[in-house]
Amino acid sequence: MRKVSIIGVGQTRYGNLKDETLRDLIAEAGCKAIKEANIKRKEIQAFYLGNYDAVSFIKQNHLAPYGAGAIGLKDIPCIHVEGACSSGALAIREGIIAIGAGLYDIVLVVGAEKMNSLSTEDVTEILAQAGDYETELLAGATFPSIFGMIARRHMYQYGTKREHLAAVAVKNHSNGAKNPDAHIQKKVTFETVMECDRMVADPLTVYDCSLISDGASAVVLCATELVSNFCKKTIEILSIGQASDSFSMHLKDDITTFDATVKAANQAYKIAGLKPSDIDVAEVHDCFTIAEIIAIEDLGFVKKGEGGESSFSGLTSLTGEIPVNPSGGLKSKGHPVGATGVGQIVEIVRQLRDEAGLRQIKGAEIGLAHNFGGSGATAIVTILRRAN
Amino acid sequence: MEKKIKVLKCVRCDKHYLPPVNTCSNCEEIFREFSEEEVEGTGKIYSFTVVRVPSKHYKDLAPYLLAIIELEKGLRLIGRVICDDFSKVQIDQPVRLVSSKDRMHSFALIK
Repeated sequence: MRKVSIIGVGQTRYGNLKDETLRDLIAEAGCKAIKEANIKRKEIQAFYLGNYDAVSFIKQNHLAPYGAGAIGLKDIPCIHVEGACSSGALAIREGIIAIGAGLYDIVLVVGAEKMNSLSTEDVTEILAQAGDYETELLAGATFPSIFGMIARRHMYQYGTKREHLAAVAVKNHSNGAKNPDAHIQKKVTFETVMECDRMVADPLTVYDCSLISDGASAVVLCATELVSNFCKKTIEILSIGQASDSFSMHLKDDITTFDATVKAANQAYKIAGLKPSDIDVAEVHDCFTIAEIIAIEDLGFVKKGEGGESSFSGLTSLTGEIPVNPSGGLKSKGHPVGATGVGQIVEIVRQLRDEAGLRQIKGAEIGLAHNFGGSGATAIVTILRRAN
Repeated sequence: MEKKIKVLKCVRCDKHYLPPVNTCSNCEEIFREFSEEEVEGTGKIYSFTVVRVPSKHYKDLAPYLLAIIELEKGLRLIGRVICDDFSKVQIDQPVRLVSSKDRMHSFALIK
């Protein structure tokens, strides 16, 4: 396989973007990435679009050429990739595989979602369809309720506390406040989070849940052997692992760990020849605060069961031993479902280029992104490095 | 009379499944023959939550207590637990099936 690098990134702000259509979002992110890569549109040989459910959200299907048209791409193959909340990282992986196999030299990947067109009840129903419609949604489950049950079990098995969940929310809001692209750029105090009684699915309150956001993110991928022609600040993709797990959360042996994350991470570490302690910065899939606690365990940053205490003690803060979600994560940067996996890579690229402003992790050379879909049926782990 | 739950058993390896199941994941060879059985509608709570922001489907039901119920033979399902005081519910508490409508199984706490 040929090696692949990122030569340009771009994204819209994430948020409740009333005036912008899905087409607008794709165009803005895609054009920014192309400009940054300093290439011409005609040099792009294929287009990959990560999107979860434009059919339900905005009644639009046949999305890849829809998105390509917005960017002004012509003639090339356009491919839509769907894997629930991991649609974005899956689209990037397909692009990497195609360049790696020698099919193309340069491809554009965009992740995008327009969610704020419907009521919260409708959005809740659409998101729940990323789980098993028959055995989960019709049985009464919602996404927050699935993670509520995961949180309760993690508390039962490992002594994880409300305080630990709150620490994740406080940290991610604090980071998001330093990110001009974030949906909510506002700090919250520990007391505010702890005293919140707006339960969504016990023990999860609104502060434990990610946001319903609109937004798009984009990356230009290029065969590493050709990057000297383009960008000065290239970021190499060292590895990308992907794995799957039981489609229904309740049929997993242990709901406090995501096997697909563990397996995808092991693949990624092995191919890159690295171990968890080599990672300088990570963006992980914190669709709920408990998901970040489990992610840092599954990715090997801390021992199983210690994710809560470690988050509480500041291990994952901007100045901690392993900074996690400097962007603010899904919690504060926002979660436009199909954009998220691409947005995580955009953040890691900015960190490794030393361009992350107030939230910059000093001297970060190696970064990891972790994106998952549904209640963990799909997981992708990507490891990136600043090129010398 | 105690309510029971229909399950499927792989004819070759005896592994039990709650429907839907299309192939036995326990058998190395592809095998898709199942026999119908019934298990007791009693089990215990593996984990639980209270759904306060429901999907459109159950908007008139919220708030309701939702749990993963462990039945015999290692089978698990998601079901509603009907109770007056959510704060009394705990992991490992025994429950029994009281009704099944559409795809929603409702349980009651066994005191």
